[in-house]
Amino acid sequence: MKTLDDFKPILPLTFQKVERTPYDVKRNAHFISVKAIGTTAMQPYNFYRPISKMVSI
Amino acid sequence: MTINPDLPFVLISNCIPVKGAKRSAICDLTRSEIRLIPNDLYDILDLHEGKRVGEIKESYQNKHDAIIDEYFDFLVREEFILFTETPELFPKMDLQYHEPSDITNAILDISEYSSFDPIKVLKDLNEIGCKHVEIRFFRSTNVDELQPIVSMLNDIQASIISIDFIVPQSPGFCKENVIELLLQYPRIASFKIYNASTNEFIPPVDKQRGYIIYSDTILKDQRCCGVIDPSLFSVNIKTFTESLKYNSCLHRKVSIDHLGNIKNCPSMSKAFGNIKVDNTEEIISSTEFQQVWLVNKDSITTCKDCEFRYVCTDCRAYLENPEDLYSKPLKCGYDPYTNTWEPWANNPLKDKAKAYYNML
Amino acid sequence: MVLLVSETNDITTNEVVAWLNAYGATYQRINNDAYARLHRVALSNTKCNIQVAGIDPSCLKKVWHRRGSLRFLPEPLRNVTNLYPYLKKEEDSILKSIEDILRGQHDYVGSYHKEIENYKIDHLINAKEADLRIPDTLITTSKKELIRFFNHHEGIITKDIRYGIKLHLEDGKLFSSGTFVVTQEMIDTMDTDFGPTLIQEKIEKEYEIRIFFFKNRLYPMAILSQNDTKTAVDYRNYNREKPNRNIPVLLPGEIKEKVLQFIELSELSTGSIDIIVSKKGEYVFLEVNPQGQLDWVSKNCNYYIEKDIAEYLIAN
Repeated sequence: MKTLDDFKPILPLTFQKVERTPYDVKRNAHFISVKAIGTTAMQPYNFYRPISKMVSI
Repeated sequence: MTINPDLPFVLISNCIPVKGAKRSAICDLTRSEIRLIPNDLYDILDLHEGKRVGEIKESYQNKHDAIIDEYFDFLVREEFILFTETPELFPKMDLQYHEPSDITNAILDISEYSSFDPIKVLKDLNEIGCKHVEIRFFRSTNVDELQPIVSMLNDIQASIISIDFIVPQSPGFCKENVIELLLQYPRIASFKIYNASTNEFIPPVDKQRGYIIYSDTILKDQRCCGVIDPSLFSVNIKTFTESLKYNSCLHRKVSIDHLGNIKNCPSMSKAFGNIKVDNTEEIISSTEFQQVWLVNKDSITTCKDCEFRYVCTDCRAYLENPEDLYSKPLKCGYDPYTNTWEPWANNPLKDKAKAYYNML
Repeated sequence: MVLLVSETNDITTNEVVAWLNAYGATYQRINNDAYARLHRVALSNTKCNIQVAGIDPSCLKKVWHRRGSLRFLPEPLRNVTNLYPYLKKEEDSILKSIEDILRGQHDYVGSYHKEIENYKIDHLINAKEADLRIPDTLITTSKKELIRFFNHHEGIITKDIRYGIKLHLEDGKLFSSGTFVVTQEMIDTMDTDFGPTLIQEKIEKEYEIRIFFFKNRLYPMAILSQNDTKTAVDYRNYNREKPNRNIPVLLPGEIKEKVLQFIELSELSTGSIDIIVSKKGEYVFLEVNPQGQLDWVSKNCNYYIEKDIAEYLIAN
């Protein structure tokens, strides 16, 4: 049975450096989509400064 | 990158130097870090940006070449500068601050004396476009009480996109339960548990969930707020640009204290109304409510000389001089004239203010 | 009345909406996952009437097509595996026409089919016509040509022609790794003929520029990634420890003119252009993405692009 590697010499050059990531079953099980939240935006939804200042790390 | 003697240098425009009385800080706004520098280096950056290192050395009659080299090694190492043939193409960043909502953040306090419905309060806050809410419990609570609150925000697809909880430790808030709650509700941005037996920071499970803090700090009520500490500094473009013009804690904030009073902050005495009878939207639009928003760091005694003034998030509720709205925060133990941090609580000069605020 | 076409979780759209609310604008937002009724596209020799999503065409002033597209397929059909691919193809073909008609009748910014038909080669030709420097480029299936190009240049890179590799295999997923340098070893393993491949001369870069544009407003951001080799070829090979320096930058006047000309030639109303400023000081056009990310340009440079977009949408 031919594998991907067998095909590489006749695939486009970009296949020379494909990245393989295993399926992350654990992560999928926990992901819940919430409307208006749950995006892959550049910054998280924490407010950009402390709202109150009682607990310091 | 190494120092290039043949090209002019420019500062990376989101790394902004701030001059203090005795030293300065470079605020790296996108990496969220502060680097402290001598005022001499501040002056070099201020006066000689756009020049070649050789020219700069000459303007000091070559008497300080070694130290200038040291400064530039530092700037290169930290990636604060760029050597370029075209310095004119790298402008200063526009430090504008704009915000569509009148209110961006809110605090809601709940104690054994509270008789209002937090869910109704959140709905009101949602109506006025508030995006971030922190709920502080000064009595015990449990997951069963918190869940409906967050669940309601999901149901109405609220524009309140983050909710932070501060709660006292109790058996229901073991790590597993809290992690589970945060996994279920991405809207919870952070969960802080005080009166705990340990100090622990649990980072977000992934970029889309909140973080958890267990703290052995003993909190009783709103008088525990107002702490000034480097761990509470906020180093980013939004805070920095806001701090230039506005009060870095109270700007666009509304608070409901544990008795339902509508205030700038639960720790301030002035109440503008009560959530049970008054219209929050009208109150927050009024000039009197917004007055304290304009007290920026540059107008506050001592703070105006501090290199941290645009990353520190101030406190107008607890002041060194309770009679003077423009005095330094009571709980700040930093002296920008000596660059030293002292624990504020131990300073006997602060006792009079502590008594005034009933903190003794 | 303003129409916004987007996706549910798009942050930029959320922010523009917040500004529209602040300005008291009348708008309707339709997300990709919702169903939009196609009332009519009514054609005759004398007319071309169009109405979608319950919007009165005479009230509609501006459209901002940010992401995704209007979906005219009822939701239950979208999950029927053996029917959906066919129905989607049919839907795609009318989406293009509908977009073109709406664009002719209203101020329409953004596009779905420009994103689908994002042809690198055509854009390179448009850039060349706008007198922008483009990298020497070769698309070939021949090893002989590949070797000749490789020998002719100091260094060459390759990247996906249109779609990034995204495959599901038994043991995991396979992804493109973006743009990368082509080595002699890689070429040696190739057969005499292979699948279509795009290669370009490697430009030694001083820094990169990402220009987000909205109509003819340009928002340029410089991406400085000199200090580490991980990002040296493609800034999307994101170095997570120390983010690159992303800062506001100005374009020299003549480059700005050429970029605006390119935008006109490519008939795009918005998008993101990638340019390299080479070590020799040349501005080299790489590619354009019609539905690119603008959040990071807006935030890193403090441009408030979202506010500008809202103001554009409510202006007369």
